[in-house]
Amino acid sequence: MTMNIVKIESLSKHFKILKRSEGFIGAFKDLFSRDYKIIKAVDNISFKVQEGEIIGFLGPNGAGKSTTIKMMSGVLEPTSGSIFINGYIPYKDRKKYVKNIGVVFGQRTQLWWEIPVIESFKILKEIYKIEPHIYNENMKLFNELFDLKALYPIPVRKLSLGQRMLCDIVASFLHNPKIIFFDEPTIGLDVSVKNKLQILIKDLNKVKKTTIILTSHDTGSVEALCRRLILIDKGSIIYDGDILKFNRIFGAYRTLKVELEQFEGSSIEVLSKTIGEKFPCKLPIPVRKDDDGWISLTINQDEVKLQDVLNYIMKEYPIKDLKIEEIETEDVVRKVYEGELV
Amino acid sequence: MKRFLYYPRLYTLIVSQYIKARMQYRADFFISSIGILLESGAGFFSLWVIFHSISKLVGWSYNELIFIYAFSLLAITPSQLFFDNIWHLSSHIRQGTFIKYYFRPLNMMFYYMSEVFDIKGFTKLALGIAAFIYASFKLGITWTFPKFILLLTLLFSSSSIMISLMIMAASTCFWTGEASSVLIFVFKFGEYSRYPLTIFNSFFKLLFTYIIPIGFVAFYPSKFFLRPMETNILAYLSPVAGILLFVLAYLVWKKGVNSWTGTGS
Amino acid sequence: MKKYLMIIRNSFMSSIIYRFHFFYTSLSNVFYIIMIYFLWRAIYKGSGGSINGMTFNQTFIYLALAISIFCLFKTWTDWGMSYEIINGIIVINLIKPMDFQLLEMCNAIGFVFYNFITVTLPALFIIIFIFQPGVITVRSLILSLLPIVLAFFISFNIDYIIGLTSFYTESIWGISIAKDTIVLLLSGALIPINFFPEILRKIVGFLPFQAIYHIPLTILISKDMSIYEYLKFLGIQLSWAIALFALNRFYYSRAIKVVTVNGG
Repeated sequence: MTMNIVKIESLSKHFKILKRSEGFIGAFKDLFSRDYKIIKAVDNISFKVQEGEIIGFLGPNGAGKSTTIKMMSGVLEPTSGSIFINGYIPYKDRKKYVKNIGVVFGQRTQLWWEIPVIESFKILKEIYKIEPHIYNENMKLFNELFDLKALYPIPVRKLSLGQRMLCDIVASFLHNPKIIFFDEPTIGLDVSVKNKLQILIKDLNKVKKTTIILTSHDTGSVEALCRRLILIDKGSIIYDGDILKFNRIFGAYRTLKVELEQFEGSSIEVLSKTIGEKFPCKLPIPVRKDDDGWISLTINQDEVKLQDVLNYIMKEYPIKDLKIEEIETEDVVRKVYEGELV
Repeated sequence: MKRFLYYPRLYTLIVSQYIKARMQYRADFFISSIGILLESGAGFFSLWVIFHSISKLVGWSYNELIFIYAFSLLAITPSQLFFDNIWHLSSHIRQGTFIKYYFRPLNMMFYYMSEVFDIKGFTKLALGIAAFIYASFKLGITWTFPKFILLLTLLFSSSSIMISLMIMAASTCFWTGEASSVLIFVFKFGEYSRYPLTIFNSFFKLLFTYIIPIGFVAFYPSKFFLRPMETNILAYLSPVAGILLFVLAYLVWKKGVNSWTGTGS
Repeated sequence: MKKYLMIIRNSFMSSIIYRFHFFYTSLSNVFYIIMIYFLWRAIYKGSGGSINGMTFNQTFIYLALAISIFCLFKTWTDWGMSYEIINGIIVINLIKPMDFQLLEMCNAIGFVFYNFITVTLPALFIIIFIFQPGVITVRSLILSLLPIVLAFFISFNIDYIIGLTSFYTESIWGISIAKDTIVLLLSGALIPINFFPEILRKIVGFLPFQAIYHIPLTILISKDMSIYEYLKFLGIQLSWAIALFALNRFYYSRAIKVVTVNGG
């Protein structure tokens, strides 16, 4: 019977923001203004997390995910509601609470910028008063997972973003925390490094049973790592559940990807229009041009037969290649925002 | 005992690594040291030029003023050596990078300040020591052991006052988002501390004794050695002022840290 | 032309957002003026009214205005350029279809307007109405306008040189502080040049710094300056202005080749 390591109930956070006026005169007025407006960054959310879970927080910018994470990590005091993590109220017993958590930021390192990587680890050993045998065990484990030793003498400022993230991630596991918060860990990384990172986090979670809370824009990472997904928008949770179930709701959806012989960028609108006319749906079939030059269409098989759309395209345009895929979380998320979730 | 040593040991570890890393930038150190020498040297130069035209400033001689100036340099240097990171507070706050300091089981002020150790401060220290020795020699001051202990105590309290004022000034950026102007404002006061308080009228004398106590940074402590007969009770209060002010500064910092919302996703 | 005016406007507006900045800079300036007042009053005590050819009133006004001009011209041009180099965002300005030096100067001008309203005006107010030294006449005020503009131009070019140096060294911390100290000291802004020993006075005469402070200030506090002397001063300023400008054009052409853009 695994414990709930995170218990959050009716959590809210409101901010007072100074109203800013526009233009020249406005700027002068602002010097003396006391006009505030209240922003409900997080509005009455509740959820529980079991030990060892990896859960993903998804949501657009300003949705309230960073605010929630900040409250969970003890930085922000909630306006109302209760929050219990690992037996502590995060913002109340910060120093004690923080001994058992890890935090990793995608954009900024937690390590010491100017000094060699290994020295940062040694400093962490002192800060967390880590027993030598635990320290050695963990360092050995990290080296098994990737060649950390090669980075030992290099100052953190000289590492590439990918290398830095790898170091930050293992550093967060060094003191065997119960729960780790990852905030946008894959931002700016290329696919191969992202994969490495994801495998690393998954392995460490398996070995150490660390609870992991991941926030990301990158639905790919969330899909790869998490079994549970919490979707936040405008301060509220709009979905909390199994990531596969989430996809199954949209299981009728397929993404049809075609590579056409010749195709100019402007023709997308024409294609979109004709598809829309030929195959009318509740919401028009989205037609996009992907970065790799392929055209992708998201089709709801409950409304339209994929076969029919494909036949039509093959008739009108010479096709070089085609793929049929499950819908991506990204598209699902977009659909939720567009109001398609019941 | 082990718990007591936790912070000093940690500090030594962090700072020694930091110095090692910084020593690689020889050219930068060299040039910056020149900058510091010029800046502090300009003060001595000004005194020298002024005393070309006068012989006493409100009853204080040239060498006495050098003594006071050297004392103020020695008092200001610890804030530069150990607390230099205070100057970066507003950019950490504005860019949001300050948030990382909340996540370690460390006292936040300790963690924040331990990240930067300004070795350029050693240059100022060297200049201050040299000027101090010069002045005491010229003034014929004899240094006994008790006098030396007194000197160290007073330097400790003076530097504590400067550090406290700077921390309080910088902490305003937790609320206002910017601190450099306040910091410069307070830092300038440190520079004014090198003049005898007697040049001011009674209003400012009171201000600089009780409200913004820069009188305790160099002038009152120096009087102990230069005019021992004239020393009043106030000077004995220096260590007390130093400790109290630091406690106050720490409380202000804590309040700021707690109230900073870190807005911006 | 219009785009340059936009730069000035933007620079001015971005300064205004930090409401406390001007308050503290103003206050700092005022305290400094108070400091000068007391210090020099003590220096002049028992001196019989005049030292090195200047009365207390003249010296006070001179130094008080000197620091006000220093605050006025403090545009952080050198720091701004160094910051842009270190963070790699200098590219943004380099690829704009404008002359880089002119761009930086317009930024500086925007700042100067801001400084003028927030720091110089209050300081002038305090100097004229509270200390009432009565040394400045309307005539000298008008005469000093052109010298002050030229002084800004020279000051900006010196800042710009330091800024260009950051193309080579990235950080300009020590250099900028050295520059400020040297400029203040050798321009007579900390201590009037009249107080300098003979030899120093001669050396300082060959440097551009006194063209920034000493010249405009002397014009401001003089009772009746001859046309000849006025033109002589303007001539000195103009020559330094042109010389520094030319130097910067040359320096820029060299420095731009060295720019390595930071950031992966």
